[in-house]
Amino acid sequence: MSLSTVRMILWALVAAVAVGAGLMFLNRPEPAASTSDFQSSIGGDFELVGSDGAPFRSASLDGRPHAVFFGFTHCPDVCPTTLARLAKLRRDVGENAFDIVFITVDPERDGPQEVGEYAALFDTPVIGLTGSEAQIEAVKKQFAVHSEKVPDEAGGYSVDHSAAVFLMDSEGRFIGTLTSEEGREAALAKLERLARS
Amino acid sequence: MFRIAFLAFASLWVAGCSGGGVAECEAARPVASDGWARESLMAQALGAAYFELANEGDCPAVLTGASSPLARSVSVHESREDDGVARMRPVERLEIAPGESIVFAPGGLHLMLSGLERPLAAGEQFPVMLSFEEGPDVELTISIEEAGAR
Repeated sequence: MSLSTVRMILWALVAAVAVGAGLMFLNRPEPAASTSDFQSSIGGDFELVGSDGAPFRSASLDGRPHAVFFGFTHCPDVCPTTLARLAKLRRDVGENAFDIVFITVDPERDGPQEVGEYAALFDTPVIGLTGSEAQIEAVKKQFAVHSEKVPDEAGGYSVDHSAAVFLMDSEGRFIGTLTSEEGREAALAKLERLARS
Repeated sequence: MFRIAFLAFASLWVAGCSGGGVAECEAARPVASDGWARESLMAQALGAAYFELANEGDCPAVLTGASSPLARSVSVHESREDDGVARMRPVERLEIAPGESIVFAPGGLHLMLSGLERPLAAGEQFPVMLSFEEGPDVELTISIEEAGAR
């Protein structure tokens, strides 16, 4: 192989790496919903279905700060863990400090009865909401929540979903999120701020 | 020149194979403790159980599955959060090095129980059999706790 051929090959490799890097940059993951660019666009009015089967309008949450999180009842680990953590934190801030709202990303399996029973599990008031596929897709978009069904080996499925807890003030405005990385002190501080909002 | 290199390489290889490398280990000895589960949600026949798994042997222990009379199937899953997205995936085999222990805890590794015979009620206990690549099954008792306990 001549030197000029080697040089051509090397330049071709450099070009390929540059193209690859460019593609990776363009395909970089979306920033999490909690960045300030998204702040004004999280939340908004929504209509879902409550655990009693009746329509639930977001206006019912007005006047009370609330913490909203998304999950599904066929989730044996993360969702109950999130709820347990929120319930415990709320006990520390004050039982009446804020509402906890659970919205399912799996309306196919989670009807009013399912979300109602889930909400009742932790012996503390939790508002469980479901809805039609369209209503759930709409509210997911409003909170910039992504979810995706993942088939499992037994013929069922689990649902990957955004895990943040959205903190909304008493006028329904988004004021921040709670993530699983934060320690108890940081989470308590955020929830105390939420309670006062 | 090549012949010498070949002989050198071959002799090194034989030395390695004759046991000059890693010593043979005797056995794995998995020990399971502190088995617990949250009381379950009535609407779905699913539950998650947690425990601590230690390997007191000198060989790696490899967990390959589990079963329980209370559930149609039990499998090892791991929850993870990547870039703010919560996921759960099955774990086909879980290796525990000699002397190490792995904790199954909320938000991480858990035994997923599907097709529960009856809802898990706080205060009750039930057995789970853990299967390993080598060696006998290990029995673990799961204590059901109230949902907000841990």
